[in-house]
Amino acid sequence: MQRGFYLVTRDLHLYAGLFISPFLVVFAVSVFVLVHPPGSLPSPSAERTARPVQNLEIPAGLENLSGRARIDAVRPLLDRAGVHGEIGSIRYIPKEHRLSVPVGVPGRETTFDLDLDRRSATISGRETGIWDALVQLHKSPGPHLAEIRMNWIAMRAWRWLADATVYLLLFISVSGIYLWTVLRLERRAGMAMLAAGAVSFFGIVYALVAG
Amino acid sequence: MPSSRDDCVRRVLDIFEVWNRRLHFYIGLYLLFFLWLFAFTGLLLNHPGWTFAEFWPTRKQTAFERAITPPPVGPDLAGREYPEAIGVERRN
Repeated sequence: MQRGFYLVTRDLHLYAGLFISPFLVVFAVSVFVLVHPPGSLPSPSAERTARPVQNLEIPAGLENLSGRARIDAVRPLLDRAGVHGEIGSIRYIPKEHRLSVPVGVPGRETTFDLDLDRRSATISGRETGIWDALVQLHKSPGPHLAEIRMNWIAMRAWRWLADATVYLLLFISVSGIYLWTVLRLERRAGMAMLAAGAVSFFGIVYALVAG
Repeated sequence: MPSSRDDCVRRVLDIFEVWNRRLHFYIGLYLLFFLWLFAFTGLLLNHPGWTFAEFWPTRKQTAFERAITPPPVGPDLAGREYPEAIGVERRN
């Protein structure tokens, strides 16, 4: 019975680790860019040529909508124009009767400039590079714009996978402790490492919080 | 029959496997609390709606007035001296 539990735990520990390893690489590499930002982040980008889109069917009262309702109303216009990505905070410019819609894909920023009077839009954008893409993935979904974020299916999938990475990481750490306790030969050295880690962790937390 | 070269390679691989396994344990155990901290705070950042982690409703605010000594005017003042002027320790 106990041997069966050990074997199942060991296999789950291995498979969960293999599953999350590419996500861990993304989080681990991007954290270096976050902690040590290069001077030119976002990287000097290639501005893409602006292109116009005509004859858009703009829902009535679009400028009066707000929050998620406005995002949902703008989405079909973006689909028709072939613009895909996570919609950010939309800015309404009343004097020009225009909406500026930022659309982001990791590594690419697009602005969908919607002229409500002419029923047309100008699409412009730029590439921000691989490092910026990794940083964006690292920070997504994050705590901001909670009402409107995750409005792109790929970003919703990323949120699930980012959460799954954390839950599986917690499982791996707990199952790893169990697997370590079974190995009697490694107990003393393991306890020393655990104690050293605890002292380092609580020491630095104390220094930061109370220092 | 295996040659001495094969034995040597096998021995090196065995040693590598043992130490790879040990380092896996040791590094994992050393970084355990750091890992839990970053994992947990990552969840909190991605789920701002979790009520148990909200600080705003339970915050404690303090406000006070204190006389200050105006710092000397300089080209690079930028408010840097004010925390010290009111007796607040500044951390960079």
